[in-house]
Amino acid sequence: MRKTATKLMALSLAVFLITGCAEPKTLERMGLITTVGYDVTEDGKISTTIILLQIDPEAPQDFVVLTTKAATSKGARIKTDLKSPKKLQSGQLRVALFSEEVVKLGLINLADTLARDPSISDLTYLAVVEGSTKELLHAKNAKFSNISQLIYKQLDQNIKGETIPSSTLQETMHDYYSDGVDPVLPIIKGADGEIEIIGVALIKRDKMVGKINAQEAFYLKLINDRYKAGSIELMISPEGFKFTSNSSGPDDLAVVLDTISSRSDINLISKDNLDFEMKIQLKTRLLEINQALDLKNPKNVKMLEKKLGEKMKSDIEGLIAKAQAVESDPFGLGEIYRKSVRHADLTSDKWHKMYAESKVNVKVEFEILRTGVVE
Amino acid sequence: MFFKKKKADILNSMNKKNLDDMELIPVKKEDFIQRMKDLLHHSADLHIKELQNGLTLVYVDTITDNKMINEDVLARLEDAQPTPDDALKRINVGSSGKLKYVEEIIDKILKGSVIIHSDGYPIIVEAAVGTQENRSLTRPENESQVLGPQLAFNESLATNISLIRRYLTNPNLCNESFTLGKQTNSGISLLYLKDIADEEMVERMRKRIQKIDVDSILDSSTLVQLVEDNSLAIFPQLLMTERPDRACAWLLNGKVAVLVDGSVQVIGAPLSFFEFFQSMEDESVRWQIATFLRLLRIFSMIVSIFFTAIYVAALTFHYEIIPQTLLIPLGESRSLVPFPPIFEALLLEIMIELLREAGARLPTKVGQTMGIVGGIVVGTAAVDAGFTSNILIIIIAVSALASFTTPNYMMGNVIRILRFPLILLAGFWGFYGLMIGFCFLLIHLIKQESLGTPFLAPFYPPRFSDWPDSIIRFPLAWTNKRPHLTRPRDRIKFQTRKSKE
Amino acid sequence: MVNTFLLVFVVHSMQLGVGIQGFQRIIFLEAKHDAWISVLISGVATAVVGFVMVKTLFAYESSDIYGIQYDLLGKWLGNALNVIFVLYCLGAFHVIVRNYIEVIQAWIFPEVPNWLLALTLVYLVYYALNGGLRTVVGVSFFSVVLSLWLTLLLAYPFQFAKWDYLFPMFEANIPELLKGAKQMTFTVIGFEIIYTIFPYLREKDRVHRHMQFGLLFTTILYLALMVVSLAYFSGGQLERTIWGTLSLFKIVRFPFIERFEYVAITFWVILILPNLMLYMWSASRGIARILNKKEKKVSWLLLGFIYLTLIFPLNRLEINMMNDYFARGAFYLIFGYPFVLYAAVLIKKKFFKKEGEANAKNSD
Repeated sequence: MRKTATKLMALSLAVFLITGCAEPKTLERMGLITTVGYDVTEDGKISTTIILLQIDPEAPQDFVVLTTKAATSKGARIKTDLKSPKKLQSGQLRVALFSEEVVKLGLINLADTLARDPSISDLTYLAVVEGSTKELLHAKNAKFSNISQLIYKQLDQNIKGETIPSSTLQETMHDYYSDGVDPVLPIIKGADGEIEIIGVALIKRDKMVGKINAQEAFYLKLINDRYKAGSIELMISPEGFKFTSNSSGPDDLAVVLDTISSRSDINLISKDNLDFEMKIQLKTRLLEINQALDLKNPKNVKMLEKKLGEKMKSDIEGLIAKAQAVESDPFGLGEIYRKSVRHADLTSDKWHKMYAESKVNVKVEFEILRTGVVE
Repeated sequence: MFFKKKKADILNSMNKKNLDDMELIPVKKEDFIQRMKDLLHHSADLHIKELQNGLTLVYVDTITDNKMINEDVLARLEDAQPTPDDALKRINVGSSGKLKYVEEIIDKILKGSVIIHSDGYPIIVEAAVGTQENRSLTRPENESQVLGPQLAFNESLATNISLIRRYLTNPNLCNESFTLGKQTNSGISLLYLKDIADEEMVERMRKRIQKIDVDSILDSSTLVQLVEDNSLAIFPQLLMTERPDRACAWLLNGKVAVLVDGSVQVIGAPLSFFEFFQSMEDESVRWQIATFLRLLRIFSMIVSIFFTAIYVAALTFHYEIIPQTLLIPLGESRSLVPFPPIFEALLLEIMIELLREAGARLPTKVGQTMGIVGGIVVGTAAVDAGFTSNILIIIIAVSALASFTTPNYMMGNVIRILRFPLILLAGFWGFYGLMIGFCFLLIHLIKQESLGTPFLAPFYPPRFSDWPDSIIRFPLAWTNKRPHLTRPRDRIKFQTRKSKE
Repeated sequence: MVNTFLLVFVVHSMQLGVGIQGFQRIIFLEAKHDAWISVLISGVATAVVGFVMVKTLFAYESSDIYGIQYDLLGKWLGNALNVIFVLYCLGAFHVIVRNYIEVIQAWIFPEVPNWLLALTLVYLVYYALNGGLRTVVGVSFFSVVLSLWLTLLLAYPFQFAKWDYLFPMFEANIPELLKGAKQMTFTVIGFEIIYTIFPYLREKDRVHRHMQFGLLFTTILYLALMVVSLAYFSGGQLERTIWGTLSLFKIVRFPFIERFEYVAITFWVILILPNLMLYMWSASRGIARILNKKEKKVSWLLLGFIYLTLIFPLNRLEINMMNDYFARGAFYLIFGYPFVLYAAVLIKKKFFKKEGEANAKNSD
C-alpha cells in the first residue's frame, strides 16, 4: 500500500513538473498600467492614453505614456501592446480618467469594462478631465516627476481628507446600478504643470450633465456622508457684528471652519408632493476669521453660528436647485423615496422625472464648539 | 518498521531456546582458560592470571580499573581457599556475584568485570571492577539557556540516570533496562514515573524497543528513528534533549524517557508538534514573556516556511497584490536579474544552505569567517553583479534567521528544507500552489501520531484544558494539570489555591 | 470514534463551500432586498431538517442511512436508495470541484487546465482519506478555525455599507421569500453528513445539540454576509455580481497586500477540502457497505472515476445548468426525503419493533 502511494506521488509530481504550469506574469516583464485616460475622437472612436510604470533604474523617466485609437477600450489595449516592449497588464491600475466628452456621451461602457476585468481593483479612482486626457497625461511636468503618481495621490489625499466625494470604481458602479442615486466624479484640470481638482461632475445615469465647484462639492459630501474631517471657508456679510477694532477690513467676513462631526438626515415628508426634509447637524471648530471679532462674547458666537447656518442653508438649496435643473440626483433622494414608499417600483427613468419636481426643505443646525486654544 | 516485526519474533523465540541450553562452565582450569581465549578470540587486552592457590582471574585490562584489581581483588585472594564461596567472601568489591553459564561470563567480562574461576567448580565469581572513559559534565551546547540549570547529559548511561535521579528523588521512578544491537549490545534504559505515566503508553514504548532488531545502536538519534510512529513522515515525532531538567519535566508530565548508553540525547515520548517550539526556559521566565516567545517561534516558523515562497508567487503571478509603494523598489531590484524569481530564490536558498553546512562542519573561528565571507561579501557581490535582487536577499536572510529560532535542531532542519518544495509550488502555480502545499502539510500533520497519540494535540483533537500551556503559557497556577496527551494517571500537579498563596 | 463536539465543525465546514462564494445574487433575484429573510428561512429549514435527521438516526442505536434504508426497504430497494445517496455525494463532489475550478480560472489562472486543478484537489482528498475519518474530521476542524479570521474582513465592506438599501423591509411577498429560500439549497446543504457520520460519534446524547450549533453558526454567518452584501452592493449591481462574497473581498486592502481577493480565492481550497473529503468518504462508505469491500480501495476507485469526469471541460452556461439540476435534486433529497424517511422509520418501529433493530445491526 505504501509503495503504491509513493509511486502515485512520484508519478503525479512528475506530471506536474512536465506540464500544467500557470502562465507566469513576472513583475518586471509586465508593462504595468497605472493610469488610463479615455478621449473620444472626431470620428467617434475611443482614444486611449495609458501610463506605464517604467521599472528600470536606468530609464530617464520612470513612466511611459502611450496613446492609441480604437473602437473599444480593449481594442486599444491590443493595439497599444504593439507599441510596448512589455506585456500590458492592468492589475495595478489606480486611476481611470475620462474626458468630459466621453462622459457626456455615456460612461458606462468603459466603466463596465473596467469592472468586468477581475485584475482591476474596485478601489480604482475614476475622474473626469476638463479638456483632453491625452494632453493632460502627455504634458511635461517640471514640478512632479511622475504624473500618474501625482494624480493618484492628489485624488487619494483629497478623498481621504474628505474634501471631495469618493469616486472609486465600486462606488460609481454602485450608484449607476442603483435607481435612486446618480454617481459623481471629481473633475480635474491640468494647468501650468499643476493638477487641480476643480469640482465635481453632475451625472444623470451615466451621462455628465453639469458640474459644480469645489465648495459645492463640500456640501454634496456633507449631505451624503458623515463627516469627520474637512475644512471650509465661508463668506458672510459683516452686518450686525460688533468688531473690537474698527480697522476697515475686507467687505465680507470670511470664516474658516474645520468640521469635527456632521450628521445628515433626509426624510420623505409627503410621498404625493415629493416633499423631502433634509436636516444637517454640523459641529465645527473655528480656525480663522479675517476680522477682529470678540469671540469671548457668547452673543457674537451665537450670531456667527446663526449667520453661518443661514449661509449654508442657502448654499445647499442653491446646490439642490442646480442639480434638479439638470435632473441629476447625487444626493440619493431617490433611495430615500424608495426606502420610505412601499412597492415604489422605482425605475431610473421614473425617478429622474419625479426628481425634478421634488421639493427639499433644508434645515441646518450649526454649532461652533471651540475657537482655538487662546481666547 | 514493518521488516522489524518478523525478525524480532524470530529473535525472541531463539532467546527462549538458548535459555534452556546455555553452556555450562568448564570445571577444569585448562579447559576454562582455553574456552575463554577462544570465545574472546585471543584478544590482546585479555588478561588471564593464574594464582598459586588454583584460582584463575580473567579480565580485559582496557576496561577495568587496575587499582581495584590489585588492591581489592588480587591482594585479598592471595591466601584464599580455592573455592568460589571463599573467594566471594574475601573480595572487597560492592558488586559481585556467582555465575553459572559461559554466556553470562562473556557478557560480564565485556562490561568490565573480573571473573574468578576456581579449579574444580562449575561456578564462577564475578566482581565489577570496570571503569569507563567519561567526559566530565558540561554545559548544554545545543539547548543552552540563560536561566535554569547549566548541566547537560554526557555519554554515560549511568551518569545520565544518576542526573535524573538527582532531580527526581522518587521511588516511583522506574528504570527498565534493555540491550539492543547484535554487534554493539548497547544498553538502553526506559524511564517513567509509575504513578503518573500511563501503563499503556509505557507498554507501547517497551514493545517498540523490544521489536527492534538492528546490528547497532550508536546514538539515541538512531534509536529515535526506529521507534517513531511513521518513518515516512516529514516531521520528527519524538523529541530529544540533552538537558536533565527537561527530561525530568517530561517524566513529571507522564511521558516516558529513553536513554541510550553512549549518547548525550534522551528521547521523550509522546510529544505534540507544539512542544518542538517550547524550551525549558519558558518555564523559568515570566509567563507574559514565555507567551510572547512561544508565539514568536510559531510565527517565525510560518515566516520561515512561507516567506520566500510568497515572494516567488507574488512576483511570478500576482503582481496585482503588491502595494504601489513596494512596486518600484521591487521592480527595480528585479529588473537586472536575468532569472525568473523561482530560480533566483532557489539559488539564494541553496547558497544559504551551503553557508550553513560549511559553517556547521568547521571549527568555530573559521566558521565565523565563513559566515562573514559568505554572507556579506558574496551577498553584496551577487546584488552588485545583478545576480539577485537585494529585496530577496533580505527575505531569504529573514527566513533563514527565523528558522534558527526553533529551539529544536531536528525541527529546524525540517523547516529549512520544507521551503524548497513550497518555493517550487509557488513558482509553478502561485498562491494556489502554495495553498495546496499548505493543505498537504496540514493533512500530513493531522495524520501523524507520536507514540499513538495525536500529534497536533491539544488543538486537534481540541482539549481546551491543555491550551494554557501550549503555544502560549499562562501563569503557573493555571497550568496545574498534566496534559491530556500523555493520559496521565494523575492529572493534578498541585492544588491551585495553595500555590497561589 | 470522533468527539461529538467536533460535529459543530464538521457540519459547519460541510455547509461552507463554493455556494457561499456567490449565493447573494441568486437569492436577490427572487427576494430582492428582503433576501436576508430568505436566508433566515433557509436557516430555520435546516434546523428543522437537522432535527428530523437526528431523530431518524436515534430510532436506530448506531446505524447510518445506508443501514436504515437497507433495514426499511430490504436488500434491493434499500440498496437502490443507497446508490442514489452515493450518487448524490459524488454529484456534490463533482459540482464543488467544478465551481471552484471555474472561480480559479475566471479570477486568477485562466490558462491552467482543468485536469491539473482537479488533480491537485483529488490528490489532497486521496491523501487525507488514507488517514481515515480522524484525519478528515481534523481537516474540517482546522478549515473552520483557520478561516475564522476571514469573517473579520467583513469590516471593510461594512464601512461602505448603506443601510438604506435594506428598507423598506418585508416588501417581498411570501412566495418570493420562499423561492429565495429554495435557492439557498445549494449553499446550505452539507449537513446531511450526519446521516453517515452518526455511528462514529462518541457521545450520542449530545449529537443533536452540536448539530444545531453548527447549523446556527452557518446561518448567522450567511445572514451577516447577506446583510452586508445587500448594504454594500446596490440592487442592480448585485444582480450582475456572480461571486458576491469574493467581490466583497475586492476592497480589502492591507499595507502589504493590495488585492486581497487573490489570497481569499486561493485560501478557499481549505474551505472546500472538508466538503470534498467528507462527501467522498460518505460515498465510498456507502459503496463499501453495499459491495462488502474495503472502504479505502473503494474510495480510490471512486476518486479515479470522478477525476475522469472532471477533466471534461464545461463552459459557464453548462456549469450553471449543472448547478441548477444538482440544486433541484438536492432540494428534494435534503429538504423532502428526510421527512419521508423519518415517517417510514416511525411506521416500521411501530409495527415491527424487535425485528427492525436486529436487521439494522446485522447490516452494520
